[in-house]
Parts: sequence; structure tokens; C-alpha cells
Amino acid sequence: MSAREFRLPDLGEGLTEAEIIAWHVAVGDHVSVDQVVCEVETAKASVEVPCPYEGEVVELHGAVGDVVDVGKPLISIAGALAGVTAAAPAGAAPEEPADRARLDAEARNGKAKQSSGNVLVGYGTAETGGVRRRRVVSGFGGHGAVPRVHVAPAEVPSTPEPIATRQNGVRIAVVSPLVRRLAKEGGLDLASVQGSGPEGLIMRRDVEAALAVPASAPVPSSTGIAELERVPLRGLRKTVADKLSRSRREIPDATTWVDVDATGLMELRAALNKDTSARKISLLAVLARICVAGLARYPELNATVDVERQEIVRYADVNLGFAAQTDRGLVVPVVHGAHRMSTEELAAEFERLTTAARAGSLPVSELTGSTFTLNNYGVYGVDGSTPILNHPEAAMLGVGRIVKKPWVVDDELAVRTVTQLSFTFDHRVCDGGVAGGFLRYVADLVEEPARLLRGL
Amino acid sequence: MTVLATPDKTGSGFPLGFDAILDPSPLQYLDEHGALSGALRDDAPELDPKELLATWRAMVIGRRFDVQATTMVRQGRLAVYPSSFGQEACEIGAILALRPTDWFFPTYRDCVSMVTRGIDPVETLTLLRGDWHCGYDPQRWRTAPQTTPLATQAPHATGVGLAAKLAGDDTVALAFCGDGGTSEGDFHEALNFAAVYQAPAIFFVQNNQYAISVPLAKQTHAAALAHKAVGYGMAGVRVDGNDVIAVRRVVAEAAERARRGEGPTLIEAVTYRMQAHTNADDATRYRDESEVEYWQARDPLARLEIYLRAAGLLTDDVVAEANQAAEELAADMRARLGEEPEVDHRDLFRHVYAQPTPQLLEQAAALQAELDAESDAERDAGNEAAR
Amino acid sequence: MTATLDGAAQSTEISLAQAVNRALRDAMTADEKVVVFGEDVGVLGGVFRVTDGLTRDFGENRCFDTPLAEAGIMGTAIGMAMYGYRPVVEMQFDAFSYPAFEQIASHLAKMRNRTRGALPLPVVVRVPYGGGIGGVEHHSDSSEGYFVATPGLHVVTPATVSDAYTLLRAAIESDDPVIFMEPKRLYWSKDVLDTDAPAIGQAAVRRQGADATLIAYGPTVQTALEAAEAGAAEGFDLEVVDLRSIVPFDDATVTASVRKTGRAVVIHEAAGFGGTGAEIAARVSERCFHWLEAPVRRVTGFDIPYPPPKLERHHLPSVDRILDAVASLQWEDR
Repeated sequence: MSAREFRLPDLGEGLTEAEIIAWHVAVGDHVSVDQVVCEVETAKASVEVPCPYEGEVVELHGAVGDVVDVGKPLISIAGALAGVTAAAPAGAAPEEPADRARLDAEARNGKAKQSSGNVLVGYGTAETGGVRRRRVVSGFGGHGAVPRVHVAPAEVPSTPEPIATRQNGVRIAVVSPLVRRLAKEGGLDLASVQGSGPEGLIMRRDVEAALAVPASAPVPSSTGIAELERVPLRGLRKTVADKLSRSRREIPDATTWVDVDATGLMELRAALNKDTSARKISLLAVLARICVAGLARYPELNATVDVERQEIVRYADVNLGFAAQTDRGLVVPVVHGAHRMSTEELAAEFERLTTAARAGSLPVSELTGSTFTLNNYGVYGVDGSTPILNHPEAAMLGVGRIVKKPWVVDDELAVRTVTQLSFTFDHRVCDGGVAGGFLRYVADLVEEPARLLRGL
Repeated sequence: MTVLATPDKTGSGFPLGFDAILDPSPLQYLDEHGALSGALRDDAPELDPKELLATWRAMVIGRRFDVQATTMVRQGRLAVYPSSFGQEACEIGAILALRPTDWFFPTYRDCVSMVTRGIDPVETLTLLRGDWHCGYDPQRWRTAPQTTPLATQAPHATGVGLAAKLAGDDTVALAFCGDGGTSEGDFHEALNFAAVYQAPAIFFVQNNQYAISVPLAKQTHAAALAHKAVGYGMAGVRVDGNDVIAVRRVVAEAAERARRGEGPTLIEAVTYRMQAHTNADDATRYRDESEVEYWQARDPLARLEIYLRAAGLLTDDVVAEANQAAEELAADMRARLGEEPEVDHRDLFRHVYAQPTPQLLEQAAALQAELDAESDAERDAGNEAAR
Repeated sequence: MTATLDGAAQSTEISLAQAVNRALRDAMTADEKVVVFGEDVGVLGGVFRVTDGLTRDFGENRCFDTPLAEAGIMGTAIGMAMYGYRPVVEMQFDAFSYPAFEQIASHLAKMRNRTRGALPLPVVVRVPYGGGIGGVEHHSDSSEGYFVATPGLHVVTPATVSDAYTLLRAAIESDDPVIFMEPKRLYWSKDVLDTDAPAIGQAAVRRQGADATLIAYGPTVQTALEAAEAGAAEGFDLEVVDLRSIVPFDDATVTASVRKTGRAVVIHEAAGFGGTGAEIAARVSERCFHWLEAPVRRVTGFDIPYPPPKLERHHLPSVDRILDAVASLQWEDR
């Protein structure tokens, strides 16, 4: 039969060891329950130790003078399964089978089944063999582990309702004040950030991603169409966009156009530029001179509508704006006082302003204050267009490409240099007659530039 | 006889005609040689043969309990056990003089008195085995829980007495206290209150001569602890604490007086703590073996046995029966205290309040999660080992 | 809750002290097991007149004077509770409860737990606390921290006339021991009594606000409301939460408020170090970290024994000190 170990107990509220002073039994002796088997000396006192088991002494786990640790074996007893003391009558409680089973189990596993942490022998020692358990992480009130078990069925679980992070009027949850600051400094609207943390918590990675330059991989937009990139409307681009939108929004514009035979104009220009020592006269300068002449005849087109005062303002001067394409975008330099300039002077101004525009050195004064705009979109190789008025002006002349086309001359087909003129105007400042009249006048001058001499 | 005169019923509240120097010799009926002094009437209930045998039997069983508990501490089955070996006359005599409807307030040394009261022996040891703080139902047994602080139960006894008085019940409250405990402020306040309100309370001081290592001479300069009664204007008596007949008599008398509305009594029972304070104590460091031998000769059980044998009441059958009952009790203690007690970690949170607070529910859930993780780890480790 | 006797006088204003008196009266009428005792509570009616007339109207067996012994008062109350009574005892001033602390911590707080529910102690300990009354030493302490840190006790403190009544009625009816802290500075504040109020364990939002939450209890609730008024002129829209009960603590209300505002200041008279505000700040920081714009601040008494009357104004949380704390809550990013 198996022997039971009696281990040295803690004999005084936290003692750790005891020295064996005397044995009162020897191997082979029979001991009864509670019989004193040895005497030990602890830090506090000498104690006689009674054995809890009945049976034959099998082993003494130390000699006189040895120091035994609390919890280590002191003596082993072999006894009958249902041993009883001589004094107790039949029917008395048997020896503790549960006790023995537990001790056997302990010996087998090398560790206590129950780690009560108690120093009492028989109540388990904390020899868990260094097994660590997994981390149990709990949050507070809605973020993190929800308790799985309640103490008793009658009790009401009362962790507070997790506050929805995105309801109107409720603050948005961010993982830390530091990350919240990061978002703020980056100009990020938290409401536009998708939180990837628990219950929509905005994490550092979400903020960093939102602030970073978007990757080349397509990102689905709200339309479901894959986007390549997004370019912010900023600076000059934004200014132009706003102006164009406003123009279309506020001005009831109409466009009328006419094809003209520009052969004569081209010959005139060629003649003007025969003297290579003089300044080159551009086509644009000649057209500008023609427009100025037209505005002299039709001054109601050199105007703007003051909506606030409900008045049409007719300007005294003609400040001619002309569209110039630069690297930065569409720029409209202004020739102030164009009505006073000769064709050569106009050419000089155009040259100067264009150079400056391309260099980006035009001052504001030369980019503003136009009363009429000349738009040579023909450089793009197109014929017609519906130009957008240069708000708040009332009129714009557009010139298309100049190409050879079949034409009727003296009732016979001929090849002529043709261009399309389009005239866009604010219909509030005049009726169709004036607009048509202006365009016809300009067209006539393009076809027969000599007529200009009449008004010289 | 040195029973102090009872307080004047005419209302002055102060005993009349007592000596300025009070004789402190304790009241005694049965001396250490087992001889009756003859001061009690022959028909006194305490001398009834059946009562005496029952008293003796209870003392035999009480002592056996005490010895077994002491043994079990040295086997690691109990965390600590403050022995009352040698104080059986107090432990048993006082209890047998009470009714079941009376309230009893023990100290941590009074397991034997609780066993005598009828409480399951293993339940009385719940505190001392580290299982829970109180193992029995105090309401059912009208026995307060044992607690560590000294003398704090004395005002509770006053409170129960006062409550019973207000309710018109004839309940008496008896509180045990040690000689050391009489130095605590709560002892003083409890007696003062009890006397002012004339509460039906009995304050029974077991003067076993030591508070751990501090002897009585360092605890008080008074000639007798019973003399404190004068200061409160209550009845007081000094009794031989190893004479169970005398102990039963004075407690019975104090209870009758209390039930008649004549107020509280202070009883000082002179006895001796035969063992060390607890298993963790070494008494040889502060007292002489000769002193222990002196008190061994005054053992409460021995003197009663001499008397009963001389009276022809203690037959072999009676002795055998009592010993058998005692051994059965001891065996039962060994069997049940050897078992691991069932502890439920959820009890940590269940009884702090009538209903756990939300915060306690959170903590209970957190502990449960930890334990689940632990058992998962153990299971995984077990599976590993099995492979 | 049982209705009051005196329903007719509901529309008139009464003081907080009178509200306590009325609660005692109504409780004693409703349950004959309710007994009131303490030093000077009987014939005198209490040094603050809170128990005025109870001995006269209910008799000496229901309301009585005791010897001058706080531990004795507490121990006797415990014994009476064990026998089925519901004692309501008074510690005459806050610091006078210290001799009773052994009985409170070792027994009042532990008896139910010790006996696994067999011995509940339905005792109420009334403690007038707090300063600002020009009292000499030892009469102005705020001792709630000791009780708050002792598991097994409920700690409750009214700041309004209505709560003085309803919380005391609830405390007396509770089967748990309740330390009922009465802000003596507010004894004479007046209001109309409203007996409809939430239970123990629920805080009350006294003032709605969007910018920051002021968390207070007892005497500092009034100060917090004054600070909110003044704060409005400085551009702060402050919410004020009156805890009403420190244990059990209403995490839900406090959490909801700070998650809404993103900023919190805790205000109490007791010393800051190791004070109740530290516990509240820790809980708020644990539960509201993701919503916080700034650290949780505490405005408390200094870490000193309560000062003499001529210096106490420096020690007590003031409107300005509260607004200083509010101003420190990192508004630059707002």
C-alpha cells in the first residue's frame, strides 16, 4: 500500500522552516492518529508535532539537527485505507481519503492542484510551475472586453451604455489627446476620418493615413468610380474657377459668330511688316485696333452692369484685356487706355505684357481693370467657341484659327484665308442689333482693312 | 463572600455601605481539592446531580475539542488556534447559565463556549482555518461572530441589551472579554453606557492572567478588575474562574437581575491560560514553569471529577460514554477539517452590500476573466504535458 | 417612499437642517424600529437643531441623549441593529467621528460580509462636515475620504434641501450602513422641498453645459454653480454634476458628461492628496481618455490640517480658483 507524506506545516503565522530537535518514533514503529512523532524548533518556539495519520513509520525525512522547509516532507506513514484509531469505536469516521488522494496527485504532478496561496499545508502551496496565463484586457464602459459572467442572476449588469462616437452633437472619440492634436495640426476634420479602432475609435494610423499623400492605388470614391488622384482647387486655379463660375451664373450672355475672309487682313499685315527694322505688328495688335474702332462706334458694349444699383455703367476708357496662356494657367493682362494707342503701340504693349505674364511678373494693376477682352483661341487650332465673359465685362471678341478654306469670290469658288469671329455679350447692356452691328463692323474691317482709313 | 452590594434601587445609583478597601478574594463554592464550601444551599440548581453531570460532560467534550484543535494547528489544518485549555469552567459554566434566546458575544479564544452552545464544532473553526470570517449563522445561534479587535464586542452587547429592553423582551446579552481587553476604551464605554441605560447586559471578564506575554500586573494597578464596577455604578463580583459551580451561579444571578430590570453586572472570573497565547507563541519566554504547575493543581475539570466521584455520580459507564462522545467529536473534526473547504471566489463580492455596486460587478467580472484565463493556461499546460 | 405627514407645507421654503429634521420625523413615524441617539440630540435638539422636537414628540425611547463617547455610540448602534433596530446616530462634528472609527471600519463596514449576509447593519451615521463656518479647530474637517476608502459603507452627501430629505429617507430605509455627510455650511440654505428624487447611487446634473464638467459634492456644489454663473461671462459654458452619493459612485452620469464636454474639474474641500477627487479623476481618465481635450483637474483644500477661521478662505475652493482651473484646460485648440 502507498505511504502518505506528512509535510512540515507553518507552525506560527508565516514561519518558513524548522530544525528537528528530537524524533519520538523510529522507522517501523506504529503510530496512532495525533501521536507526537517529533519535536522541532522554529524561530518562535519549540513545538511537538503530532502525526495526522495512523500506521507504520516508513521514512523519517531528516535527522536530528536538520533544517526542514515548511511544506517539505517530514515523515511518511503507511496505513490501512480505512484505518481507525484504537480508541474510536467502529463506525467512526475513516481516515481522510480525499486528503491522501490529493497528496498523491500532488506528488504525481509536482504541483498543487489548487494554488490558494495559503501557507497551510493541506491547503495548497503556490507551486504553479511558472505557467503564465494569457493577458486579460478590459476597457471601461464600452471600449474593450464586456464582462461575460455576472455574480448572481438577480443582479443587473450596469456597465454604462457605450456612447456612439458619431451621433450629432456628441464628441468624436480619438485614441489619445496626442493623436487628436496631430489631426488638428494637420487641418484634419475628425468627422471625415474613418476610425478603425473598436466602436469606430479613431486611431493614430487613421489620422496618419488621412494626412499622408494618397497612394497611387485607386481609391473608391463616393460615386463608386475609381479615382486616380485628387487635385485641390487652390490659389490661381481657384480664383479663375470662381470667376468663371460667377460669370456664367450672373451674366445672361449670348454669342453670335460670323465667318470672315481674312485674306485682305493677312496681306495688310504682311505689308506692314515689310520693314524689318520696325517693330513687328502681330495679328492680335491689328485685331485689337479693329476692336477699339468698333467700341468707338458701339460704346454701349464697353460697359458693365452694376446689379446693386441697377445701372449700366459705360466706361470712358477702353482697357483691353487679352487672354494669355502661361504655365500657371490662364492670365488676362490688361492694356490700359487702348483707345488712345496706335496699332504699333498696341503691338508693343502686347509684347511687353505677354513676356511679363509668362515670367509671372505682372503687377496686379496690369491684371485688372479691363473693360473688354480679346480672346484669340485660334492658337489652339479651333474655329468656334462660346467664350465665357471676363466678369464683370459686358463683351468679348473671340478669334478662331486662320486657315485656307473654300470661299465664293465673284460667284466663283476660290481658296481664301478664312477665320471665324465670335462675339459674346451681356444681353442686358444691348439688344441683338448692337451686338450684330459690332460684329459686322469688325468683320467688315477684317475683310477690308482699308476702311479703317475712313475714321482715321 | 465578596459580592458587592447591588445598586440602590431607590435611585441614588450607588451601592450603600461598602468598604473603601474592597476584599478582592474571589467567590468560590468548590475548591481545588474538590470540596464544597457549603455556602450554597443544597437545593441550589447548580448542585443538582443531573446538572452537574451534564456540566462535567460538557467540560470533557470541550477540553477534547480544544486539544484536537491545538493538534490540528501543528498539522497545518488550522492557521491558528488560541487555546482555552484550563478555562473550561468559564467557557462552559457561563454558557449553561444562559438561555438559547440570550445573546452571546465571544472572543477569538472562546470556540469551546460556542461548541457548548450547540454550534457545529467545524463551523466554530471556520475563521481559524482561513475559510471565511464567520462560519455559523449569528442570528440563528444568537452568537456574535468572533473578531480580531479586542473589547469592541462589549458595546455591541450593550446595544443588544438596550434594544431588548426597549422592545420589552427578557433577553440578556453576555459578552466575554479578557483581562487585556479591559484596558481598551471600548470596554469602558460599553460598561458606562450599559449602566447609564440599565441595559440587561453581563460583562464576563476571563482574567487568565496574561495578554499574550503581558501579565495582569502590567495591565492594571487595581486590586481587582471587578472593582471597575464601582466606577460605573453597576453590580460587580469576583469569582473563582476554575470553579464551574460558582461561575454558573454568578452568571445565573446576574441574568436574573438583568431580566428583573436591575441592570448590568461585571463579573471577573479568575483563571489561568494553561497554554501559550497561540501556537505561534513561546510562553517560556515570559513565565515560569512553576507558575503553570501551581495552576495545574487548580484544574477545573480535576476538582469537579473528585467531587463527583466522591458523590458516587461518576461511574465507569458515565465516564466511558463521555469519552466516547469526545472521541467521536475529535474524529469528526479530523475528518472534516482534513477536507479542503469549498471556497467560492464570487463570495468576495456578494456580501459587501445588500446589492453589489456597479463597480463591484465590474471587478467580479474582471476576476472571473482572470480565472478563466488561468484555467485555460493550466488546461493547455496539461495538454502539453500529456503529449 | 412613504409620504410625508405634512403635505400641506410643501410650497413654502425650508432650510436644509429642517429638511433633515423632517426626514427623521417621517422615518420614525413610518417605522417604529428607527431610533435616534447621540450627544445632545435629545433634550437640546442637537447643536444645529437638526433633531429638534424629536424627543418631545416620540419619547425618550425613540430619541435619546448618550454619554460623551463616540465609540460607545457606534458600538451600541451596531448591537441594536443586530437586534433588529434601525439606529440613526449622530457624530456631533466631523472630526468627532474619529474615536468611532474602529467600530465603523472593523464592524459597521464588515459585519454583513463577515457573516455572509446573516447580520446586515442598517445603521445611519449622520456627520455634519465641511468648513466655511468660522469654526475653531476640529470643527470643519471633511472626513469623507476615510469612509469612502472603507468597503462595506455607503457614503452619501446631499447638497440641496430636497436631497437632504430624500437621501436621508433612503439611507434609513437601506439595509446597508450609510455615512450621511451633511454639509453644515449649507444647513441654513432654503428651498422648497421636493420629495421626488433619484435613489442613492445616482448623480444629478444641476446645470447643463457644453465646454467643461464641474464635478462636486456636498458644500462645493454651491460653489461650482456660482463658478458656472461667473464662467458664463468669461465665455465658458460649464456643466455641473452633483454626485449626491460618493459610494456607490455613478460612473454612468459622470462618464456621459465628460465624454460630452471633453474637460473635467473635480472640486472638494478635503485635502487633495489621496482625496476623493483623486479617485474620481482616475475613473474619469480611465473611462473618458479618448474624449479628453485636457487632463482632469482637481480644485481642493491644501494638504494641510484645516486652518483657523481667519485663514480658511485661502484654503477652501473658491469661484476664482475653480475658474482658474477651467481656464487651464487647454482651450487654444478649441
